[in-house]
Amino acid sequence: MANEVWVKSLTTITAQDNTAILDATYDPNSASYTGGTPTVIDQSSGENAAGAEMVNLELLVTQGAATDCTAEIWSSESEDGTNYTEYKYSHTVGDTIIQTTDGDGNRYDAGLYVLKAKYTKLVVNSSDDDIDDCTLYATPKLPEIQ
Amino acid sequence: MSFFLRQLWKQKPSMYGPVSAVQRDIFLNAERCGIDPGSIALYLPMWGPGNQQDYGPGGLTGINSGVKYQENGLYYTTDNTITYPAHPAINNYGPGPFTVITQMNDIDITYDDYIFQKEYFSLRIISSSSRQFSFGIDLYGQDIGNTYSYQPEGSLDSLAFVYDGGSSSSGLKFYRNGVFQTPNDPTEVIGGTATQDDSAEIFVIGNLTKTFMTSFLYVKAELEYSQIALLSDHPYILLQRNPQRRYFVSATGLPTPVNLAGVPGFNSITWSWESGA
Repeated sequence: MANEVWVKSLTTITAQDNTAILDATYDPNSASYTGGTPTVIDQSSGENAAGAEMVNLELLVTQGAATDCTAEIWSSESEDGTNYTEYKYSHTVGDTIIQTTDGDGNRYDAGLYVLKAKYTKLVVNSSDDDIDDCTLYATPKLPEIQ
Repeated sequence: MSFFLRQLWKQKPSMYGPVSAVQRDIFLNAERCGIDPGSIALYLPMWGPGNQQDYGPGGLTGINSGVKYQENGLYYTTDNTITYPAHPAINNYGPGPFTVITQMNDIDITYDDYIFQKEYFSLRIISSSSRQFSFGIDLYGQDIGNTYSYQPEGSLDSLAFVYDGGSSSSGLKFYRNGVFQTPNDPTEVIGGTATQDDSAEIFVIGNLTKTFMTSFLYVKAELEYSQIALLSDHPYILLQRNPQRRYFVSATGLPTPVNLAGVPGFNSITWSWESGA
């Protein structure tokens, strides 16, 4: 009997919904950070990201900044779901976030995040300029033996 | 075998995170290739996709006007010097053995262009005429090097330089696209006085003309020919995720992971897998 290992995609998680203006002045560790509360990506939960090895990230920019800018992905991790690390820079979205209104509605490939802790929070940090409205989506991927 | 069959090294990987995972992958892949990970002093992969944002600490393009990231590479529109922000891993390293492997499309290299420069130490083009270039080490103001008939043809070439840290021209080897280049005159001795700014306590890359660079690797060791060939042909092999999640069906019908064993020296790298039988 042949067995195959497929890379399975779980339901996409809204990792962070930023309906308020994402102020480029503050990073996610700042008390003044204006980003939305992130959804915990939980490797132990079947409803969320059970067994996932990584998440594929997409950034939907509903309303861009006044100028072209850059978006970074930052992460905070926890093994017990209670004690989280400080947010840390992970990587930069590889494309320029086009300014409003030209780039409004654009969905950007925001790279890949390798899950290394049981609980992970991923957030967007805008640099250069304030992104008015954006949403970070994370689709968990896991190899599954068929 | 899927690592090879899928030709992942040909694809410039997108930036991914977390940083520690990327570093782990680079380290594991380096070990697999027989390279001491601790000898990697600087690696600028110029991530894809698209027009890459500036991810260098402090911003490479921010502090270096006239240089930009474009099409997964670093693009020099005119004579530009890339100043890499001070980093102990580089700055605490004096003249000594090194290997530089860079993928670049150098449309118009000229005399005094340099690949990199460090305090009292640079790798640069110390003379050129009729498409014959002398790549040399400028060591404390004294040039050593060899002359090659090298003609940049506008294509993306992999240039590799291996230096043994000594003061003899024979200690500098040049590889183009993974192939060792024999100096035009192996007995030639190039001398002269350096014209670069030797006082700069920084590591700079560039001063190249109309160059498009897609990766830059600086290793504080002399790599072997086979490693040069591998990294020249497969410039992104160090960035691939490791371990690869690949499975195949064993004789017992159970999936087993592919086990890959690397030993120092890529010549002797061995591939093995569980047969399950």
